[in-house]
Amino acid sequence: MADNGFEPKIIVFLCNWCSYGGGDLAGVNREQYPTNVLGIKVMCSSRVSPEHIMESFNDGADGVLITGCHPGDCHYIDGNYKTFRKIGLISKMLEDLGINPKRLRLEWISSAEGGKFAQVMREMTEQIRGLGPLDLKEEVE
Amino acid sequence: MSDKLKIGFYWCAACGGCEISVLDIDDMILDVVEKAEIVFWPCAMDPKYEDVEKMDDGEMDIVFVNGSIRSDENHEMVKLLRQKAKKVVAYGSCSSIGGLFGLGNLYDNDELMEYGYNTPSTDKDGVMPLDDNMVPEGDLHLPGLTHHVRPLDEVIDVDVYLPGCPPLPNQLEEAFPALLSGEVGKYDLISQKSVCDVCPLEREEKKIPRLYPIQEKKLEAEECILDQGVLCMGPATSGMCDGPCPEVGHPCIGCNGPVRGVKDQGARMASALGSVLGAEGEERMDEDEISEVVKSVRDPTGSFYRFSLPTSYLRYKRRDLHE
Ligand code: SF4
Ligand code: SF4
Ligand code: SF4
Ligand code: FES
Repeated sequence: MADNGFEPKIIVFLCNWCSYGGGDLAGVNREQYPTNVLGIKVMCSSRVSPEHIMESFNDGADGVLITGCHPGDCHYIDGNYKTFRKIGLISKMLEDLGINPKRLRLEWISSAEGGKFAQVMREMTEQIRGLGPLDLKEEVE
Repeated sequence: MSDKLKIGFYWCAACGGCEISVLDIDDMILDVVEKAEIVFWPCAMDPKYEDVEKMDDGEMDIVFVNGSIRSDENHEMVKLLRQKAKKVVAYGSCSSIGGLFGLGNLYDNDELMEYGYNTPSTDKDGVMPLDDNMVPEGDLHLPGLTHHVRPLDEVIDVDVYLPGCPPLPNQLEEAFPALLSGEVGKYDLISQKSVCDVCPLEREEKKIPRLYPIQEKKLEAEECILDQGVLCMGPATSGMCDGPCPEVGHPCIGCNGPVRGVKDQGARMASALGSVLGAEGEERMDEDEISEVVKSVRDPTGSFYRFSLPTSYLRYKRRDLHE
């Protein structure tokens, strides 16, 4: 679809208590998903600050995916609600600055959802492949 | 006489406030002129480009540059000044972090020109300025706009940053003696404390169910403005001003830029606000209801980056949504 041979780079933040477990299970179940996703484990989705997201894009990520426990299941009570609101604000800021907010996605994945984990990784990779590369370091006069 | 330091002031894309602020220091100006001789100051004297070109390299000890970089002329001039100065100080927020004019980076230059010269608010619709004008005296050339608004350090090396819109007398009383004695590091004049840290009002860290536009809320004088549901940039802003705005009941609008060591003021504010927004009983709300809370934050981009868009990670509007 997009550029010839374009392989998206996608940073995935994985909450230690749920989504990382989901990733583990995907592995145990031999689920297939693309190698475009680079995982970073964090203790809670709310540990991911908007600065990490902006910095990821700035440093060459074509997409950023945040994963966390389902609402009500966060091990720090309301961390994932905070994440939800931060992502809402950041999506709007990306859009105002001409960046497709579809490059940023939030998903709730529990440690029992190996299938969903692989599915989300596949979807996200295809979505970003369709959007093409994002080069924030372009040189302008 | 000749052992006095030679200093200069220059303005780029500026409002003039920074120039005036130099005079806000009252009689301390006498201490400054005792130690230093002002050899270059277009706002107050009438120097020509040639006068600067004729100077030896490093002839001026300190040059204070205010304003952001918006035109080819700004660009050329600061390069020349860098050559002629031993030390360059980014004076004010425009120069240090991009400043108010940096919000122009939410649009591309064609959009800005269209809005400026071809909307009902302009005098003669559609009459655009020309880069070159032939007049009887010869060919007049206007400097072109740069691709986007830049802070000074995107063009030349900066030795010391002094943000503030403009820097206030209390900042200058610390900054001038330190600068003139040479004992100041690059980021020393940017506070590590936030405006909240120095604000006389006390945040209770309670949940804020939604934000209100300031005109829709009657503010209590003794209570934290953000706690009352009006956006205050205090949590994400550097506090070397000592918080004069919340002190008189006006929200901080973020003019000093981020605290020392933080790059992206807007992202920092999104983080702070994302953590404190939220209604009681949100566990029982669906995602649409929670989104409503987020939507009560009007224009997060313009509000959070009001003074620092050019030094954020994203810097200026990209073309990822079109084409
Ligand atoms: S920093 Fe503020 S006072 Fe100084 S030139 Fe810019 S807008 Fe004006
Ligand atoms: S009024 Fe503003 S600066 Fe003062 S404590 Fe509240 S949020 Fe912070
Ligand atoms: S309180 Fe905020 S807006 Fe007021 S001077 Fe300080 S940084 Fe600027
Ligand atoms: S612990 Fe998983 S989202 Fe907070």
